[in-house]
Amino acid sequence: MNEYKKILVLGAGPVKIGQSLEFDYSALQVCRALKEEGITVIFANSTPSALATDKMFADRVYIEPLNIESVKKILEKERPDALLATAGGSDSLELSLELSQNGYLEETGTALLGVDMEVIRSVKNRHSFTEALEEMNEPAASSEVVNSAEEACDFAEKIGYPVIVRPAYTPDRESAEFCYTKEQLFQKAQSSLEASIVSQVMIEKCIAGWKEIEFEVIRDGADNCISVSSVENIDPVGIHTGDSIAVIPAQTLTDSEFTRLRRAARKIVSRFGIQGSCNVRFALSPDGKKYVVTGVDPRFSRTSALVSKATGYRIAYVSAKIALGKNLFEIENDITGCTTACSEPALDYCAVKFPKWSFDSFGTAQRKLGTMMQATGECLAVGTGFEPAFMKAVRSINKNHLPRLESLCELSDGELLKVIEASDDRRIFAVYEAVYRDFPIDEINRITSIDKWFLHKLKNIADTEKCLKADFSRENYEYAKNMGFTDFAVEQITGEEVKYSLEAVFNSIDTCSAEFDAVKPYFYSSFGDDNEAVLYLNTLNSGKKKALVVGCGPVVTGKAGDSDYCAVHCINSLKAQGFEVIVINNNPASVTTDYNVADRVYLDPLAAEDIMNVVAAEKPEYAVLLFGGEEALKKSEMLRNAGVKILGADYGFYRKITNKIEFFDILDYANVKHTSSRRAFVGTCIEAHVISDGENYFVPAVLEHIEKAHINSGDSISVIPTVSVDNSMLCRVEEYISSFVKELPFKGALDMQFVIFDNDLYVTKASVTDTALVPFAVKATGVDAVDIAMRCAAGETLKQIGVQPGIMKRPSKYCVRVPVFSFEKLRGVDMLLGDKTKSTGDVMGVGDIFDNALLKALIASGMRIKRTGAVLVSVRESDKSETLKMAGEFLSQGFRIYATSDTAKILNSNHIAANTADVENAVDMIRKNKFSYVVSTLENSGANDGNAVIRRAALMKRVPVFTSVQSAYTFSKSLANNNVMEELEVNDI
Amino acid sequence: MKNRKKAYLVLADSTVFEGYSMGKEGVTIGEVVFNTCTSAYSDILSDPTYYGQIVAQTYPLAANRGVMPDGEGDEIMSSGYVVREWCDVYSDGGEVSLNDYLLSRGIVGICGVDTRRLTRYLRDKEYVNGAITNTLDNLDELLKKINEYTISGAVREISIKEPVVMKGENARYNVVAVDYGSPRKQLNAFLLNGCNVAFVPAFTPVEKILEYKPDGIVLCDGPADPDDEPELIENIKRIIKLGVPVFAIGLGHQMLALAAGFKIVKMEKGHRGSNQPVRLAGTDTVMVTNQNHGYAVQGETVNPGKAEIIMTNVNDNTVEGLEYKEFKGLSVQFTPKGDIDSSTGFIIRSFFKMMDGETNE
Repeated sequence: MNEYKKILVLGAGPVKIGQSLEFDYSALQVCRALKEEGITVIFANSTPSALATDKMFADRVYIEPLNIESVKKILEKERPDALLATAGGSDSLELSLELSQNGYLEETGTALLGVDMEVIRSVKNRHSFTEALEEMNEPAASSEVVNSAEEACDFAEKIGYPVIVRPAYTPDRESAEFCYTKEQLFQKAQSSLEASIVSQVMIEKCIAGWKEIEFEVIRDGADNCISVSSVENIDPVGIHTGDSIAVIPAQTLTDSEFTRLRRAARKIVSRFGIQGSCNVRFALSPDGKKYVVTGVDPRFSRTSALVSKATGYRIAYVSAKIALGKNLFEIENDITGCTTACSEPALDYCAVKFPKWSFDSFGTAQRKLGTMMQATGECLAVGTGFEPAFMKAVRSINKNHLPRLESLCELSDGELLKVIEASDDRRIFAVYEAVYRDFPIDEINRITSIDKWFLHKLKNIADTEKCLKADFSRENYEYAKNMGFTDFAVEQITGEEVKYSLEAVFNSIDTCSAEFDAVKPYFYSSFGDDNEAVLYLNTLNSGKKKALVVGCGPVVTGKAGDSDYCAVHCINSLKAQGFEVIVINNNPASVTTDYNVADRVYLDPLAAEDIMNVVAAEKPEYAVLLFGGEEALKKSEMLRNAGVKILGADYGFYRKITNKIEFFDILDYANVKHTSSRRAFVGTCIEAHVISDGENYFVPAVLEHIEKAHINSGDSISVIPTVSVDNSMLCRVEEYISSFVKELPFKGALDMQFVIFDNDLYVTKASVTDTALVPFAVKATGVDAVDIAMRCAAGETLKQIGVQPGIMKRPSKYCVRVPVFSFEKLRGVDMLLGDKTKSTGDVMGVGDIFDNALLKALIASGMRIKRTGAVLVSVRESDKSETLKMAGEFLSQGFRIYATSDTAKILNSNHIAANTADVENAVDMIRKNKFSYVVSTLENSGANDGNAVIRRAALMKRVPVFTSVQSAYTFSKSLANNNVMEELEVNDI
Repeated sequence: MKNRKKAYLVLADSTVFEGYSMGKEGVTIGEVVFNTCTSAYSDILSDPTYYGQIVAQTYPLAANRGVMPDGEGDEIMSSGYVVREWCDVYSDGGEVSLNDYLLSRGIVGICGVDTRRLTRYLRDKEYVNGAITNTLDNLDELLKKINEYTISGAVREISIKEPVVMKGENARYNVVAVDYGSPRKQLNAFLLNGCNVAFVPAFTPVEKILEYKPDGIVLCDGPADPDDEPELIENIKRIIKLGVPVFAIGLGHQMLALAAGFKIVKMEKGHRGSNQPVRLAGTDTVMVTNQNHGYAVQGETVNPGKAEIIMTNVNDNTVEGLEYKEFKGLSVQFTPKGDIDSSTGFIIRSFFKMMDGETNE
């Protein structure tokens, strides 16, 4: 083994579409793997909401922008022996390659682990990729780089339509378009040429409709190579794998097709010399005769996380050990306790992944699925057959547990076909509806290219539903249960109360199909002879009291990494308090479903019946529901009836503070001023995280929002400590909290929001489920607020915990949290913020002064900071006074100001020189990179609203857009005050 | 809904697993073993190492794409088949469903069994007999039969009766392959890599083998206990004295070890699946292999003067490969692939080197 003593691990940055929690899961595994070898682990990431940025395994943590400058500074400061970036997604891999390419790593004697420059170069560039595959005698999709639309059409004539057009060298490799005619191609090629930095586009033969099969392969330095698992995407090529329903292992291949692809995958990984994990994607023609290699990703990916959770094989952990020089047979499989990482997992179940979209939170987003991923999260469902796994996935997504959507039931056959053809997020349910209506399977297969095997499986489910409806007999009931219908689903189908029962059992996920007696399995429910969870528990008998933590489910905007982060802190807290902790969750990217975190994991949906199955097997005394959001809290009564006590908030408490009338009544009784719907309260927004033991309270931090308008607190830029709130106002905050806690005593935590308006303080709302700011506050204060809250919930007093009641002392450093959005991935979404959360993740900047912290955080969020140029301003009349300050500040720093006509009039009449630009002009100038910043706050009045068009254009050109005048003003000031990035310090938190 | 006629899997200690009939209805008795492969079901059914065995598939969805009856060499060797769920065939490729396939071959099967529970039952037992039956009437009589059951005379039963000579591609070697009941597919590794193969019956005398002027002799895989036919061991003792390189697979490997004076043990836990990791001794190379055997060469009895253990199983350290010193001989417990890109592809090439007269370093 190589003798590394200190390694810098790069994280993935904030949660975005296409990059969910999986990289936190992988980073933790990597840190664990390195730590076990006695290595000093330095971890760098820009987001506070990653568990890997807690010092669970890492010795030192840097929450800094993930860019060349700051990583260089960390390297200079820490002088590690090596850099490991394969667990941090494509961005951090890119970053490490850049550091390597410009010779920096070599100069400083830092080894680059887990990745080979040459390999990355040849797989990233499509041309060299195709060449490399040809050398191996493996088929790539035929493609050509062209410089003009005419050339594109010539090449398309040669290979035949349809073709795929991709701009060459764009940051997003997945931005591809399908063209079926010459006219379409000509037009798309032209726009893609514009989008490409080097004015080139790639034309590829279209293989839409082919089966999309992936293999997750892992190889060590001794050329030992295994395939961890295959993945089959039910939706064929043409829909991004992240937006596809997928099944593990592949189901519809013949032996010889399967063997051929698996062999090719291993060969490709071996020939490229990849060490660690690698995802190899194939497109297989529907007749199984031809295949092409569509992608090789030599790093940990979303699929890696999915496969890890579906098989029990720790891909990130094993890859890290390989990077250190270990061979597969030297790495223990801690589930079986008697095999090693060179044993390919043998599955005796079937796992189905459903994507979860958040189109509703984004408002006007177009819902059509394509080659760009739009899902924000996913759920994983495991069953002994396809049908039960599929039905589990359905109830993880649909509240009624059924694959029939009411909205689709009402459609005529013709309309239904249109929905299927439109292939939007309702696609699979529309297909089910068609199967239910007995549309010919061949016809559905022709339209969707979904393999008939899957369609027949859907038919089995539909037939079961119909049988049950026709005859609610015990036999049909038991059959339906085996097919994955819950009692709740059965009730809805039959319209009757369920008079039978069938007890669920648990099977193990053990990597070996029961060949060995596993020492640390995790479980999924099924119907069968033995309850393995109970058998396993009988062998343990720890005697500890048990707590069940209900997980967060699939990531949706507004319920992102923070829930999982808090849940893991809760698990660790309860473990430290002497509980045996059990988790139920269905999110494969989450850290909670890592079997190394809690004492036991149940990989199952979060529906009432599934939770009760776990309760029946585990018989926990306690349950924690609040990280599962409202849906989980609703199960409070059911659990209490089963004798389970709720730790922390329950549904009753949640209702009390969420229902505005009830909540304001409580505030009135407590003599606490609050906002009302009759007046607009536009002022400084502050927020406090309140922990109480039922008597005293503790506030680790009060944070201030930069934006004055009422936008969702998770979407606002926030700072700890407050910057514009004086002490007397903070005393008022204390008074309010104190009175509130007396009026409504609780044990645990809640989040309280205030607004300072006309020099007076008002409470705006409180929440127990909005945890978006908790990880940030934990990082900024160094106080594990979740731990303290869970201790209070379990009965300890603040005094016993050793916490001084009241608001904690202001921290000496400034920490700024900037939300991160994924607007560029969504079509037809406006960037303007409001009530509903639109951010997908967050980043944090730390500095001695506020301006430095803000700038760092903005840089970390991906903003390109420019100190000269022009600023486009287009604002609301009501923002007038702030606008003048903001524009004045930019002007004084030498920026030129452009404004849309109304705004320009205001500016010019107030002696701020502004050039007028109409929408068309403005958009044109944005496209020509004339603006350094855009400030646009005007409401979007419809699809082709000028302001939305401006914001969209800026987004596509990656020009920073401020949708709040306050944040633009604060930013302009910090530009004036702060040092240049090169001089900003990086520090261990 | 499919055929839902009740059927039962009865084990020797009278444990009963309930399920539904699949394939032929009736009674079949055999040693019950499991296999952890997720695909390759048709290979398993036709693999002679399963002769006399009732195979249970741990992967719950069997034959999703049906079975492609490929004529020659697709004779079902196992006595019965146990699955959780089988699938109708929906593709247009000429495949037949598992149910129809078993029916047409007259094989008794059972579906709807909790195969995970069955595997957990079987995994720690050396040897379990059982029966698939469509009735539990006369259970005592059935149990008696189950307990009396042994697999014997298997090789004699399934080895080919007449020699077959096959021409290989660009042949450089003449190989005699002695058939103990091996699948024809096993020969492809030779035929596709420059060998003419004379495929001869198990009991072919040495003199007859020599008539083919072999550059090398292959002792093929087969079913059951290697002690079953002492005559075959005697035959092998003569073969290794010929000075012709010998390559042995599976049962052949075990019988060769017996002929060399080593011992065979019944394993505590058989190797039953496609993910058996085999390490090349003294190196960092591991091969992922497909295996079905309950006997193994006892490592302690391998005389280091006579042979070297060149491969071991990563999980339980059992002997997986031997290289002999007193004669040119190489043997492995599993079936090596002929494909050069396969991790086991080098093994057959080592044998070719032996035939070339090169010594292996």
